[in-house]
Order: sequence, then C-alpha cells, then structure tokens
Amino acid sequence: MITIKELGFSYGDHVVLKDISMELQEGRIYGLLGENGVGKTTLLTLLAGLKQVEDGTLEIDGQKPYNREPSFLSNIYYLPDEVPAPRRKAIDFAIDHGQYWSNFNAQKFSEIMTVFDTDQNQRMDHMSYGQLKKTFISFALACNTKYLFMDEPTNGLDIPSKAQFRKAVSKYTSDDSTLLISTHQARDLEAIIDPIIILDHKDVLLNASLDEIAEKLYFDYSSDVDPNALYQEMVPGGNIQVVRNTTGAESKVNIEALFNAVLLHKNEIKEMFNK
Amino acid sequence: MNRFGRYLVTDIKNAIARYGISFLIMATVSLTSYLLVGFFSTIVGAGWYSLEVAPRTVIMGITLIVLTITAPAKIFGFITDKKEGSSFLMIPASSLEKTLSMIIVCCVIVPFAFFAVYMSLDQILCLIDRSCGDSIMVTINNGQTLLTEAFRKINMESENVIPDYSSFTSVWLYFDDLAQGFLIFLLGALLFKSSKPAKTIGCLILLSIALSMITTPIITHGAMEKFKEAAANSNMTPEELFNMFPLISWSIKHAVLLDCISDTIVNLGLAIAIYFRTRKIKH
Repeated sequence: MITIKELGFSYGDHVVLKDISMELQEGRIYGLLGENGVGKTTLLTLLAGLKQVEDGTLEIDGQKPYNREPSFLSNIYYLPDEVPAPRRKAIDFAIDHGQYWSNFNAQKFSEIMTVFDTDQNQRMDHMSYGQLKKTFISFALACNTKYLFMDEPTNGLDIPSKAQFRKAVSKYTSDDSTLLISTHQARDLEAIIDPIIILDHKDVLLNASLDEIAEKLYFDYSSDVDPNALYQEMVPGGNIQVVRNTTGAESKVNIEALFNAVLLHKNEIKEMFNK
Repeated sequence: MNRFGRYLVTDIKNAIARYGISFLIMATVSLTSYLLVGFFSTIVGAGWYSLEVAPRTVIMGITLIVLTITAPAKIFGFITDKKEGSSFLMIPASSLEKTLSMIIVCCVIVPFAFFAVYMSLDQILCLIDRSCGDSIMVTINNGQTLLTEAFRKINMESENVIPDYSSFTSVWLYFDDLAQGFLIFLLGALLFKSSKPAKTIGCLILLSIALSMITTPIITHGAMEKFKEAAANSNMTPEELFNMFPLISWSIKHAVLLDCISDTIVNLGLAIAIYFRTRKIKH
C-alpha cells in the first residue's frame, strides 16, 4: 500500500506540493489528473525515489522510496514522459535490463510489442518517438512489478496505439498490481482508470472510485439545461452536465466533465466526498 | 551469476555502446600514427620512415591522457541526464554495486584494455618492421631496470641515504596514479551536468593553486637560508646535503611509500565521493 501523509515538496521558493495526504490501495489502476504544474510528475518521481521528500512522509509497503533499496526498486517501475533512446535493439535492451526485475517476462515483452505492432529487433535509437514510447510501455508491463507509475503514457501515441495501450494495460496487468497513471488525455484512459485522483496545487481534490463518483454525481447527457448543474458543456447532440446525484440514478462517469466540475467547485466536491 | 556480476556485464555492454568506437580509435593510435608517418614521409620523398620508441611513447602518453579525460564522461556522464539517468537509478541494484561497477569499468577495464590493444599493436609493428627499434613494452621494462639500478648506485655511493628503490617497479605505484585520473574524471562526470571534462579540469587547476599556496610556505619554511648555504658550499657530500633539509630528505627517503599512501587515501576519498553522489543523485 502507498501511504502519503502531509507531503510537501518545492523547487527553491516555488512550492509544488503541500500537505498532500492520501492512500493508494493495491490492485487498482489510479488515474492521476490535474492542471499543468500542480505536481503530478513531481509526485510520481517522489514515489519512484528519484527525488527526496522534503516534508511529511511517503511510504510504499513501509519503505521510503528515496533510499532506493534493491528490494524496493524490484517492486516498482516508473515510466517517465520522456524516454531515452539506447543504441540497442529493443529485445536486447529488454532482456538485459529486465533481468534485474525478478518477475520480468521476456515472452510477455514480445507479446506486447506485437500488440503494439512494433518490431522488437529494431534499434531503439532508430525508432520514432511513438515506437520508443511503446517499447518502454511494453517493457514496463513485462516487468510485472507490484507498483507501476506512468507519466503521460499516451503522449506521442497515434490513435490506434492508444487503443492498443488500453488493451495491453487491461490484458497484461496482474490483479494485484497497482498502477498510477498521470494524464491530461482523460479520454484515452477513460475505460481503464478507476479510481480517479484529482490533484490541485496544494491539495488532493478527489480520490474516489468510479462507483463512489457515480453514487454522488449524476452525469446528465440530455438536452435540458439544469440551472443547478456543477458543470455544463454543450456537446454535439446535446449537453453534458454534472449534477448532484440526489435520486440515486445511475450514469456513466465522464472524466473530462468530472475534472472540470471539480476545478469549478473545489470545496464543495471535497466536502461531498469527504463525508 | 550474482546480481553484481550481471550488473557489471550490463555496464560493460553499455560502455561498449557509448564509447566503443572512440576507444578503438584511441587504442589503435599506434597503428594509425605508424601508417600516417610512413605515408607522409614516402609522399615527401624521404622513403618509408617509422617513429622511434621515444616519440611513440609520448604519443601513447598523450592518448592515455585523452582517454582518461573523455572515457568516464562518455560512459557514465548520462547519469546526470534526467531522461537517461532516471532509467539508471531505477535499476534494482544497490548504490554500492553501481559505484563498484563504474569504478571497475573506468579504472580497470578501460585502461587495461587500452594498454593491451595499444601495446600489442606496437609490439606487432616492431616485429614486422625492425626499423621501429624496441617496442614500448620492452623499453618500459628496460627503463624500470635502469631506474632501479641508478638508485641502487646512488645508495651505494651516498651510504644508503636513499633506501631501496626497487619498489619503483611495483605495479601498484603506477596503477594508483592511473586510477586516480579516471576516478577524478568519473566524479566530475557525475557532479557536472554539462562540459564535464572542462569543468573537472578547471576544478583541478583551482585545487592545485589552493594546495600550493598552503603547502609551499610549509615546505620552504626557514629553508631559504639553508638553500643559499648549500649553493655556496659545493664540497658538501650528498649525506651532508640531505641532513640540512630533514623534512625534504625524509620525504625523499620515503617517497615511494608516501606516494602509495597518499594516492590510496585520495583514491578512497574519491571512491566514497562517487558512492555518495550515486546514492544521493536526484532527478
């Protein structure tokens, strides 16, 4: 389990994270959303042990990430937004690096590369950015780590690859793995992320499962405009509105609309979900 | 194979990918310089000419300096880069294993592979073309014998003022100096984000100036009058001369030991600094 208590981090005088507290349960695929500069990447790098926590505590299964103990590192993998291009064939890189992760499965790497329609025998420094990203996504999933952190994994992927990414994550993630995926492309991941975490500059605005969200908020796709809607947007063929779910009616959560509603009504939504 | 062994193999593969071509160019300088000199001397009408051992040894020394300065930054400089360095830090191996592996690659594998290739090529060239004279390897062996003999002679003439200098042939005496160069530039490669060799050289110059400002007054304290006295009295025996400067003569007597001890301490300090830098690096 990931436990974050009153976490604080700043770059010089610029405070990025302040008093952030949350718990991440095992076996779930968390979507980490937030505006630019709220500290999503910083949070992921802190979780991966690439930065040192300044205030508060951050523990993964009782271990402090920044100590970078091999036993800790073998349980996690962090896929950054920008990936390097080693001067090696993808398969050689995967086998050579994968040997340090005890659950790495080379067969699985090859399978996911096939799903992505990417040649594993191609040199990585000769790949396009999208191919490189797909290679690293394949490697990350093939490591079979207990915790997998991905920063904007669908950036640079073409439209078919985004669908392949969803398929790969759904098929090749084991049930007890915890994924934390930071993204601005909520629609790309709508089908796979649950719960949703929405981060603000110095706060966690929302950390709830889709069921909890649907229980408290109703996503209305009708053409009638509700004056009490928390968020309303015209879409082709009607509206999308987010309203309080007072009747217990069921609806499909629209992550983009949810995100906008949360940003417009921060305190109200926080209060609603903290009850 | 245990984790460290596997990690070392990965680092060697990484070194070959990042520095293999540059290494080959430098390790084959003996061959390229031989061919270039012969080619140009033929062009200017002087016939085939090959360099003697002295300039060949100087060329090897210069190449070794270039290798020492460039290899650590090229092989491990990526660690300070956010994109590539993150990948390195995430590999499940301890900081100690990563540090040891870096040190072995830089201080043992790279220089020994260089000497092996460079000297073998030089030896082969000297066997094929007798106009080259002795190979560098043979000359170094002869040089060590000559040096040891010279000091033995001084010892006999000056009633054992200088102790046994046969340890000049000790491999460790040369290895710790060689390793020190690579360790300094490895630390520089891990500390600086850009212009790594240039910034390391800059720091070395500043450090040398600071150290000479501190040590010169200590060594020369009260010695100027004695220097003048010694210069005026040309009839002094070496022993009398040595007795006039106890600190300097003591240092000369124990030069080999002092060199080994100081280099070992500095090298250990550098290795510890590299370890902590590897452990604490952030991205």
